[in-house]
Amino acid sequence: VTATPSRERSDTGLVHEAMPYRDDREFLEGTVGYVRAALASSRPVLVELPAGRNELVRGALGEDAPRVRFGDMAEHGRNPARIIPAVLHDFAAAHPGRRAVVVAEPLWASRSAVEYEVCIEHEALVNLAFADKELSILCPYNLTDLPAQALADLGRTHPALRERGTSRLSMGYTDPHTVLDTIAALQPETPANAERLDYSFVAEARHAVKEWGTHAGLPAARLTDLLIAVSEVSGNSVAHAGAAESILFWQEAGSLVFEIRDGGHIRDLLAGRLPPPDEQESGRGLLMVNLLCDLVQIKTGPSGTALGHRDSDVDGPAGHRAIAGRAAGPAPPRPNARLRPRPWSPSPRPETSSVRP
Amino acid sequence: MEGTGTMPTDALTIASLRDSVGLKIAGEVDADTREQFMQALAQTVGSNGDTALDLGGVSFMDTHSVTAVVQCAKRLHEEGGRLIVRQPPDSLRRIFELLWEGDRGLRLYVSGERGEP
Repeated sequence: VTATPSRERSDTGLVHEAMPYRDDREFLEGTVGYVRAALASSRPVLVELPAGRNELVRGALGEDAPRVRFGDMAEHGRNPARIIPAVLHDFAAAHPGRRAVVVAEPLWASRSAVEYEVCIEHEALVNLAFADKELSILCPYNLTDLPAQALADLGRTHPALRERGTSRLSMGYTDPHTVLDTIAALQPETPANAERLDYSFVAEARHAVKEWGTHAGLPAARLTDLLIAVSEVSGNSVAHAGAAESILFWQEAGSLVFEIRDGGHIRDLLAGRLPPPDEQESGRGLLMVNLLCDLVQIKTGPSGTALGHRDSDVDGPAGHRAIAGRAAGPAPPRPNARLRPRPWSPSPRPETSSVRP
Repeated sequence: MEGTGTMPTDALTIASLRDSVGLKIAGEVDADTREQFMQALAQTVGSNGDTALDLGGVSFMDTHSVTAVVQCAKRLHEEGGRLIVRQPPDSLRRIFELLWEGDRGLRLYVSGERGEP
């Protein structure tokens, strides 16, 4: 990928740029200029930003704002693994034969360390998922709010950086496979007091999760989501691994956490990120998990897979649930995946049903 | 905690409907049982005309099995028939909502409500 000031006119394939900014003025100059250039070329434009930032851009665009589609990244991208299928792919697919232009800010200050990790993973995967697509993505990053390593991480995951309206090659850009390997090597922590079920059939895992979730006061709709997610993860393991599996469950800081471990190895890095062709019967399980959950993290390797699932509570400071999975093969267990479902309240009291779905 | 390590023999039961072309299913459809479900589905929906799936006894369906139902509905629709789904489990409704709602080429004919599974 080359970076020139006139790239909007001449680009082919994916143009994936990060835009570091330090204040609202820099943010608006960068994003509004980018959007106006795309509108001038009659390109479809989607702006997906976290809370409040859409309104800033809308106000600055003035009369041009209605020509732009806005989406709430805090909702659509709560699970960063959902951004590729539900935001980027959907918008690109809705405009076949045209270059779609997206401004997407996936990371903000209140993201947890695990969410940060999944965001960086997401950014690396964008380069693989859309390598040959006519798609331009600008990713603003608020350096004032983010951890110090963010600048290096966005340089690693974006082929180009855009500052003051000019795009230049990112010197730190790293092969996405290398970035993903580095993240996969990070081991999630599992508390020693986690409940554990070793199982052979998906139904055993599902029934245990139903019992745990019901006991923890999970509302019925959320329980349905959770049972689907757990069944996809353990079903995926059954189909691809055929080895012993375990599911672990614990509560932490108002969260339910589920972790599934198996001996399989998910080789498709984009599993769960892109929908398969309509006529294909299989291949939607992990996509469903990503759509259902607030955080999905898959850790996979030759010695097994772990899938984690976490549920955050928007009405409280510390509501989380996670599902994770790990291997129980001959090699030391190694996690493959983590997920976090849509918000719920962990309180077992009836009034929890007032929590928004 | 130890799992039972065995799959109950009633994990999934499939019978032909008496009142119309179709199947009456009971149990749970997931990675361990879906092969049986999808074979029965493919054999039944092979014939033309309306086909019914009575899912009142089904407490769970996974994404793969719901996809099979949706694809059967599409095939039937193209041939001028309908797939009528009776009393689907919440999991079918949820998976359908997330993957196919708004797909104008697709209609699932759902009859019958039911309470919590």
